[in-house]
Amino acid sequence: MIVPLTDEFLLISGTRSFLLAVKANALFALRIETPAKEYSQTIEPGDLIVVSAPEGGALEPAIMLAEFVRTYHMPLIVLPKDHPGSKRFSYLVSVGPVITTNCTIKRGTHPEQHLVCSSNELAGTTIRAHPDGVEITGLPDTAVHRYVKYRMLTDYS
Amino acid sequence: MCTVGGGPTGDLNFDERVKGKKYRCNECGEKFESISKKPVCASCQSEDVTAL
Repeated sequence: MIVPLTDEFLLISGTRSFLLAVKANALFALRIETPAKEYSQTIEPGDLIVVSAPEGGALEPAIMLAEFVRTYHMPLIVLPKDHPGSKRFSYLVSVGPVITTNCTIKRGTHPEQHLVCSSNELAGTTIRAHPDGVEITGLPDTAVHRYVKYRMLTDYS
Repeated sequence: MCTVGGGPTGDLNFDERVKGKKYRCNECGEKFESISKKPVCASCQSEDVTAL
């Protein structure tokens, strides 16, 4: 299934969890900060930024996380394995041309760039960048998708 | 790349499993380690880089 997508957010919802996908609009190096090193990952226009919320929750944090990466190129900070703070986070970010959801991997402990942790109900979904939008395969029958329009308005007056 | 976020953070066991390659930017001189096949300078975003 090809779903048209340009600058909008695409929300893929299950009954209790969701994925939010958006396309990168510029070439940039995304920095990944680990306790020992700094890496960079090249993001190309059209690549996907996907936020997964395995337990659901508010949509706004997912939108903000996607924009942190897409618009502000904010680095991703990687905590050491078994860091006590990891359980505080309920949104996961994956970036690349192809992203597949998986519910069997341990959250945040895998380096494979094409995988993102998800709920069981959305596991097995693959979102692939496509010139006309995104190609979605493996989406369960119970999931639905729709566009989300969101603009941040700041009034300094 | 899968990270968990409140901000864009994660707890990947990253250094043990990911192999980056070191580059130097020919425009700004920045040295960086990229995990991508098409490296871009992490400082000035230039594609003019040399593998070290």
